[in-house]
Amino acid sequence: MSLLEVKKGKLNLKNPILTASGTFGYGDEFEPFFDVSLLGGITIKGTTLNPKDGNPPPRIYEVYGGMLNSIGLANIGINQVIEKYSKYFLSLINSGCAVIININGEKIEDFLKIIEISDSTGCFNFYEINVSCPNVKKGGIAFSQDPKTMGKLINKIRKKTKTPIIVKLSPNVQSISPYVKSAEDSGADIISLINTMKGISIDINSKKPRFKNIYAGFSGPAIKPIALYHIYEARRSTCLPIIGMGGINNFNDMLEFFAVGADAIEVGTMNLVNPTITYELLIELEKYCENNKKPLSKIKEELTQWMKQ
Amino acid sequence: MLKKDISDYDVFITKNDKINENYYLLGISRPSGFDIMAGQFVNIKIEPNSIQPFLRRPFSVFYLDKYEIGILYQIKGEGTKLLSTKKNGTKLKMIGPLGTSFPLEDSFMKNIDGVFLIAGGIGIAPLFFYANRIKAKYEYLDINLIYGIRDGGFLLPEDYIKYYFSSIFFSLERKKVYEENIYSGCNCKFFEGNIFSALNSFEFDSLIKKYNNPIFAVCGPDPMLKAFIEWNKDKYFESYLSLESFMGCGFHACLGCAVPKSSGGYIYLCEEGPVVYYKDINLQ
Ligand SMILES: Cc1cc2nc3c(=O)[nH]c(=O)nc-3n(C[C@H](O)[C@H](O)[C@H](O)COP(=O)(O)OP(=O)(O)OC[C@H]3O[C@@H](n4cnc5c(N)ncnc54)[C@H](O)[C@@H]3O)c2cc1C
Ligand SMILES: Cc1cc2nc3c(=O)[nH]c(=O)nc-3n(C[C@H](O)[C@H](O)[C@H](O)COP(=O)(O)O)c2cc1C
Ligand code: FES
Repeated sequence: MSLLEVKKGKLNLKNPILTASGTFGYGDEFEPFFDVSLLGGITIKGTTLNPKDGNPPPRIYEVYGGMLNSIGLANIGINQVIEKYSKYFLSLINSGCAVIININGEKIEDFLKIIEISDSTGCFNFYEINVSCPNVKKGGIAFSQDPKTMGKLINKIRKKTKTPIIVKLSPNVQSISPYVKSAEDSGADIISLINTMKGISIDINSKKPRFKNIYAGFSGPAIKPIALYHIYEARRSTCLPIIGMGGINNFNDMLEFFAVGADAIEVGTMNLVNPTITYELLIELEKYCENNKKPLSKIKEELTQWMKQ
Repeated sequence: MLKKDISDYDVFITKNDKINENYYLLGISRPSGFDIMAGQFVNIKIEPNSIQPFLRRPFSVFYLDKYEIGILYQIKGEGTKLLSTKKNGTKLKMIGPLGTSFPLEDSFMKNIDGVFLIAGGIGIAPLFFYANRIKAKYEYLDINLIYGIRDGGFLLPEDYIKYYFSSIFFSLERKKVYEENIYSGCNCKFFEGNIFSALNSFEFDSLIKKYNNPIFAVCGPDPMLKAFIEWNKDKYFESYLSLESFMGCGFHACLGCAVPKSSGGYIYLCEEGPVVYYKDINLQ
């Protein structure tokens, strides 16, 4: 067994370092910077059934410790994704790098159709169901209005496919626990969190919000404590594997995520600023395990000991 | 340009000089194998070991020497202010070369008989580099510069400007103070107001008539670009515009740099821009 392997329930990865949807394109954008196939996996841009133009500009704005985005799920649609990238995805999968598709829809049928198409290609290891996008008027976070609505969606998807399902949860809720439980009860295999937080920025010169949608998604290092809190709560609610993300910027950040019970992590916004960050984390983690002469599973066990006391 | 040529380079500052009341000239060590075309840009992490300022900052290239990349910049906010305090030897991270460039292919240039560069303020930076590249390959081509600046506090030193241009039309908000010839020996004309005071002048009209197939390359603030497109509506000059937008990554990973297309939908400026053909975009 390799030092960095992750094996828990349906979460099988050669290492715990993944990329977060919307911050890593389709993966090939990062090939000029490093060999992407070394990663545990990549999550591709949020995908819808039909191509989607996304929101009008401005779409991003820098804030202290991170950024706001209002991309609005701009993407080329599932058919073009397959047409353009399936060969590349299969080459990643052949190297042991998991490919996760982040699936979005306005209606339950949209999700089911994307899954039908995806199942027929075999170029995705996991389906990440995005019920937490704050930047679209329909679908997205609307499925997180209450745990029941979300559960209904996951249940339908579960019946449709055998591919492992990841449910990506929103931090914009009173308590994450009921959502985690509902996802689990509805047949989800893995929980991922957190998506972006809702945020606002006002341009004091024009005396108007900077984004046409008024609010946008806040991400980056500043949201890390909130992410850790929600992951901790999720860990206490389920034994399912958890993929944690939200503001990871360096090696110690990653260990903190393991310490609240994440089984794997995703790097998001920092990919945009430092395109080799995931590669750097991987090298550091490998060295760390070697120096400590312990596999990652053991290190995680030690880091989470405090939660069992 | 192949995507594979893009890299994240460790570079250092070779100079960082204030060259007039408003502009700084930044020199960056040129990594071996690094090349860039006029109009393309680099994305710079001003403080590589800090999360503040958070995102990288995009800059066009002003010149490219054997050992140095030149960037002309002005202070806009936190990032450029911090950049202006950096000393020689300071390390930066630089991703590049990024985006599209101004046309320079033989097949295109052989049909051109004159070039008009229209710069608003700091928009001179990529156009200056374009002029340099045109002259290196097509010395015989006339390059005319229409340069809109607020006042003399924005003028580039004479050394930078005197070689390339057959004529320069200055549009200044306060013309009077600068009319006495700023650049000795250059064929300069002065107009009061924005660039359209020059573009709508009798002198410009007689100059443009000399050319059968001129091209225009334009870079400046958004309102100027919009006004240029409007001005060009009944003239149909072949025009290439260098645009700006907020950028999250610079290498087509975030889809943050959307600019509306004339045919609907968006282009992503870090890949399909910053240089765009005037008919392809719809500046709202
Ligand atoms: C392709 C391209 C080429 C450019 N070339 C030059 C150049 O040669 N010389 C020069 O002086 N300036 C250039 N700019 C503008 C330059 O990037 C901004 O002035 C700079 O990012 C402002 O950063 P700041 O921290 O000082 O300002 P702030 O206002 O504090 O910046 C806050 C945020 O807004 C972003 N931002 C602000 N203004 C712009 C802008 N106009 N374009 C993109 N992002 C912006 C910053 O990146 C940052 O994320 C270029 C922009 C683009 C897109
Ligand atoms: C520009 C941008 C686009 C994003 N697009 C998506 C998306 O399409 N689907 C999704 O589930 N999450 C999306 N996210 C959220 C991230 O995947 C991640 O959950 C969030 O940014 C928190 O992690 P971070 O702080 O490391 O970025 C996006 C985030 C950013 C910054
Ligand atoms: S700046 Fe990220 S896609 Fe253009």
